[in-house]
Amino acid sequence: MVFSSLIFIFLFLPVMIGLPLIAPLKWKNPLLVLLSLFFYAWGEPYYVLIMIISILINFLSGIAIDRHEGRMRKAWLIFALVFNLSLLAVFKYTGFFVENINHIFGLSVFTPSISLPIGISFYTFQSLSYIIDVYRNRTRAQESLISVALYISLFPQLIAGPIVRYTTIEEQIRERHITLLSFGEGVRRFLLGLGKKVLIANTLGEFVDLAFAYSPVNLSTSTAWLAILAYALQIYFDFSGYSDMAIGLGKMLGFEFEENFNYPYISRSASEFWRRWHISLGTWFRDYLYIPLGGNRVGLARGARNLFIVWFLTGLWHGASWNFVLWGLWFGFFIFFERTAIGKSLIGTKYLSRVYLVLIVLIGWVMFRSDGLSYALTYFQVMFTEHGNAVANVNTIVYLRQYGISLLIGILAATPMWELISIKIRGLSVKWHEIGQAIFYTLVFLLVILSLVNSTYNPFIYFRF
Amino acid sequence: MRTRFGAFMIIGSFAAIIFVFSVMHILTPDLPSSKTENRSLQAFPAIRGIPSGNFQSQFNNYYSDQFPFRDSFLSAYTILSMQSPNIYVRKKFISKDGWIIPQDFSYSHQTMELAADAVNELYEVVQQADKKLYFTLVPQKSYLFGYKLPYPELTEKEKAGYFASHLRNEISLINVADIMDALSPEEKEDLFFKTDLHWNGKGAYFGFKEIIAGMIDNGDLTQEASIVDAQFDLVEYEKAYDGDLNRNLSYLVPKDRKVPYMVYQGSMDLACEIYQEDGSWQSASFNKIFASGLANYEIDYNQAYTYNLGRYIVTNKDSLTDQKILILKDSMQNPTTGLFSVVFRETEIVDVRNIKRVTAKEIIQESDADVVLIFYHTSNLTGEMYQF
Repeated sequence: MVFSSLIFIFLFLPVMIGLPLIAPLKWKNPLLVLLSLFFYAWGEPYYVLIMIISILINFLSGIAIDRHEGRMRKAWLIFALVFNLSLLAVFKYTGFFVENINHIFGLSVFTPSISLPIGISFYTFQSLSYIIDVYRNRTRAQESLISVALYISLFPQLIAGPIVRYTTIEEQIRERHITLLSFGEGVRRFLLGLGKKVLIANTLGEFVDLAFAYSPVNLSTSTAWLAILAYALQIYFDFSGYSDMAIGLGKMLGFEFEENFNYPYISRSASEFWRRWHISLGTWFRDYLYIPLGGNRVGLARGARNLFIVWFLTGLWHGASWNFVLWGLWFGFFIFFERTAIGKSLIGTKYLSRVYLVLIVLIGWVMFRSDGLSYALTYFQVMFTEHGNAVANVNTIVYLRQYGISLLIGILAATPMWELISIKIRGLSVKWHEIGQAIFYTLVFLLVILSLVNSTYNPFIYFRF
Repeated sequence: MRTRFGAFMIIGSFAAIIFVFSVMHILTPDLPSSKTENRSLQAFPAIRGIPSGNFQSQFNNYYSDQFPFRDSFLSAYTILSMQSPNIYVRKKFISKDGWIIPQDFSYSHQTMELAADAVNELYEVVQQADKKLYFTLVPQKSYLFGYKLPYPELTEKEKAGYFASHLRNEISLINVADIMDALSPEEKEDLFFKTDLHWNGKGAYFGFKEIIAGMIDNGDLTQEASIVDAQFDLVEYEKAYDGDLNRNLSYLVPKDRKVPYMVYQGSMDLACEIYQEDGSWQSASFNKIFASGLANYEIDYNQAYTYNLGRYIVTNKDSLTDQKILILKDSMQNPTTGLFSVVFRETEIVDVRNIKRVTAKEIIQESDADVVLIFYHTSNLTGEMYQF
C-alpha cells in the first residue's frame, strides 16, 4: 500500500493516526507496532514474517552486544551484520550474482526468481545502524522488544525511508509530545509530499514512460533531453514527496525525522549534490562505511579506493543491475575529480558549476532509468546527435504541449523559490500567510483526490479491436 | 505552521475532507458498473483471498472503484483537461467541429511481424481446407482523419503498410483504408460517426462494396454478386447516439444525431443461429442480433448494429450467390453483417476473442465456406486477435 492512494488516505490514515492519538499512553507504542506490521502485511502477507524475524534477531543481537565485551561482543556484531546483509543479499541480489557467475564462467546455473520484500533495503539499513551504534557505544541496547519493533517497523518510513537512525528517535520512542502546531505542520508536510508525488511526479512520469517505452532511436534529440529532464524531476518529486509524507506522518505521531532532501538540483558539485539528495543514505554510507575505511585521510590511492567501494555499493543498493553500479561509480568519479585542482576551480564558479552539475546528474539519470547498459548507450547517442536523429519532430511539440506546464512547475518547484516567497509573505502578515497556506493545501488535496480517482480510470477498450 | 489558528484551519479542512469521503464511502451503495468506462466495477472481495494477497489487491480496486462521486470526479478531470493546452484529452483529440479522434496506437515492428506471421500460418490452414483467404484492412478513425489533428503526422499510417508488406503474396489483400483515404474530407466525414471510433452504416456499405468488388476482380465471385447502389436505400434514424469515444469523455461532446443504414431493397429470407458456450447452436431472428436497440432513442454502436458475438451464422435463401463466407472480424465489421448476407448464402461471423471451446483454425477446418475473410481495422495489428 502506498501513501498516495485513496485507500491509504481515506481508510488507513484515519485509523493509523487516530487510534494512537486516543490510545492510553502505555498502549501507544504496542498499538503503533501492530498497525505498522498490519500496514506492511497488507502488501506483503508472507514477508511480514521476515520483518518480524529481523526485529527479533536485531533485538536479541543488540542486547547480546551490550552485555558482552571483547571477542564475544564482536562476534555478536558480526552475527547481526551477516544476518542483515544476508537478508538483503538473498532477496535482492541472488539473481544478479547467479547471472554474473553464469556469464563470467560460461555456466548455466539456475537463476532463481525471488520477489523482493517491499522496503527491505531501508529497514535492513536501519537495523544495521542500530546494531553498529550499540557496538560503538553510541547508544545502549533497547531492552524493550516493542521499542525495537517500533523503530524498525514504524510505518511512515518503512517503505521508502528516510533511513532513520535509532539515536535520532530513541528519546521520542520513550516520550513524545504532539501539539496542535506540530500536528498541523505534519498535515501540511504530508499534503506537500502528496502534491509533489501525485501532481508533479506522476504527471511527468507519464511522459517519461512514453519516451522510454521504445528504443531511443525513435526519439528526436530534443525529446531525449526533455524526457531525461522530466525523469530528473519525476524521481526527485517522487522520492522527496514520499519523504515529505513520511516526515509529515511522523510529526502527526509525535516523531521528528531528519530531512532527506534539500533542493539538490541547486548544487554546484557532485559532493554538494549528495549532501542534499537522499541525505539519510549518503550519511549512512559516510558514517558506517566511508569513515571506518579511513575516508579521505588515508592518502590519494586509498582515498580513491574508499570512494570506489562506497559508490560501488551506493549504486548497487539502488538496484541489482550494472547500470545502477555504473551510476554510483559515475558520481564517485566526479566526487574524486572535484578534489583535484581543476575540479576545485570548476565548482568554485558561479554559473558554470551549476551547468556542470546539471549535466552530470542528467547523464547519470540516463544510466539509472535505462533498461540496461546497451539502452543507455543508445540514449546517449541520441542525446548527442550521434545517431542521426532529428533535432526535433512533431512528437517533441506534442510532449511540450502535454507536459510543458508540468515541466516548468517542476523546474521552479525544485528550487527554494517558493519557500523564499512564502517567507516574504509571512513577513508581511502571518495571519494572511496562514490563511493562504490553508487554502493552498486544501486545493492541493482536492486536486490530488481528483488525480487519484482519475488514475484508477480504466476503460474497457473493446473498441480497440 | 506558526499559529494555532493556521494549524487549526489546515487540520480542520484536512480532517473534514477525509471524514466526508470516508463516511460517504461507507454509506453510499456499491455500484455494479461504470457507464463512462464501460466496465464492471469491483465488488467487495472474498475474504478467503487474504493469504494469497488477492483480497488486498482486490480491496484496493474495490475502494477506488466505489469511491464516492467517482463519475463526477472523472468528468471534472475531463473538463479540466479540455481547458488545458494538451492536444489529447484521455488519449483523444477533440476538434472544434465536434469530431473525436482517438490517439493512434504505436506498435513495434516486431509485434506486427508476429501478427503477420500468424496470418501467414493461418493461410496454410485455409489452403489445406481448400478455401481462399482474404485480408481486408478497414480504416480506424485516426487513419482517415489526420487532417483534423494539429499535426497530421501524429497518425501512424505507416504501420498498416508495414504489416501488410509482411503478409504472403498468396493472401488477397483488399486495402479499404487506402481507398477511403483518397476521398475528400467531406466524403470521409459522411462515412463515420463523429463521436465513435467506428464508421457508420454508410461507411460500412462503402467498405463492403470495395470488398465484393475486390473478390469479383480476383475471380472468387461472379458478376452476379456486383453491388448496385440503386438496390440500396439510405435510411437514417434520428437518435441520440452514444459514441464510445464520447462515453470515455463523459459525453461532454455533442452527440451524433443520425444513425444511417443502407437497406437492401431486394428480397431477403434470413435465418440466424448463434453459437452457445456449450457448443450447441440456438436459432434466432435476424432482428435479435442486428439493430436490436433500434426502438431506443439513446443508442450505441452495439445496439445500432451488432454486438461482438463470438460466433453466429446468417443464412439468406435469396442471396445473390450460392457461396459461403467465413469472416474473422473485429467490431468494424458489425454493420456489414446484413450486407454480406445479400451476396452470400451463408455468412459465418467469428470474433476470435469471444469464442471458447474452439479455435479459429478448427472452425476453418470444419467449415464448408468458400472464402475466409479477415476483417480488421488499421490499428488492429497485434495482440489476441491474431491467436487463431
